Amino acid sequence: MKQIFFFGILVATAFNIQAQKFFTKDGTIRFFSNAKLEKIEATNNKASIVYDAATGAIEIASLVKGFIFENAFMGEHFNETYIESDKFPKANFKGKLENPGAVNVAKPGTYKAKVSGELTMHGVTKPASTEATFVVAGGKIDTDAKFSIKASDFDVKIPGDKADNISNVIEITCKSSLTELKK
Amino acid sequence: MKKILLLLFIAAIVAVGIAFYLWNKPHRTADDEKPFATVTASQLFTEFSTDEAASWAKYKDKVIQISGEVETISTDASGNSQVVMKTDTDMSTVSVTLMAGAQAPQQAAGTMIEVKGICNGFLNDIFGEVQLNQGVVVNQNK
Repeated sequence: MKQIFFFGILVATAFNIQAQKFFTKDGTIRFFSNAKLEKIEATNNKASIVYDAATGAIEIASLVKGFIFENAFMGEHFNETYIESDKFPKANFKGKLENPGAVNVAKPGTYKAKVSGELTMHGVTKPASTEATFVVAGGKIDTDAKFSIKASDFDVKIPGDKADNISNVIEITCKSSLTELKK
Repeated sequence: MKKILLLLFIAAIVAVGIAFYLWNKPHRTADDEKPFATVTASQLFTEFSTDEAASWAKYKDKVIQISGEVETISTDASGNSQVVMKTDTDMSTVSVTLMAGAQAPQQAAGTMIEVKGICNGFLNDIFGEVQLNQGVVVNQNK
């Protein structure tokens, strides 16, 4: 269990009533690889996230092609060689708060909560968990979570001659501002 | 011998040139590409929700020009403008993130707009949304 696969999610909550759900279609997910010779970062600002305050369930979904790299050439390599986005266009996390009561959506404040679930990308599903921060204020929930995963766990192969350029350990940060889902 | 050195020198210059070009290669945008297809937001959404696999094969990485009713125009966490269009289906949208530096169109929710962008696919795990990026506005208040 030394490799804890993190990925993540966050959650948050806002105001009372059971069965209350909070969502965004504009969540930010950031990938960061810190290798010896090179730092690589990519950002996707179009993650859909939904948090069910009653059950603590959290779901995050994103399109792999929506990740923008600073360098266009790196983005091409990421999509074609490593993550194979034509074949595996989506990356998702499904999980829940270990203790759904850890975040009180009816009471403004900052809460920390353990989130655990499953992360799917590149056609591989692995357990992932992290501690996420939830800031409840003004009917919104701002979430922040960081996961550390290993590319090799998701069958993403980094060739030996690229080991100094691309780290096998990838940091994934997920930030969002959730508003109440009214239906 | 001189010739070989000269050839090696030229080869080295070419290699550096290629590396430099690749490193600085600009992001592909929809700006200077003709659209592969011109559709309404509702048409595009219906196509993806009816047959996601076929639509993915048809539209992935393609420039699509889309007209629709503005739901929101906003700025994302990276500072890029984003146009979200309504579809006939409740909670379901088509979003086009504009290329870096593109001006946000000044128009209100409920007005018509026409934009083009590169198709990243259909996110339907939670809500239905066809997502495009590297986009530009074609017609405002259409």
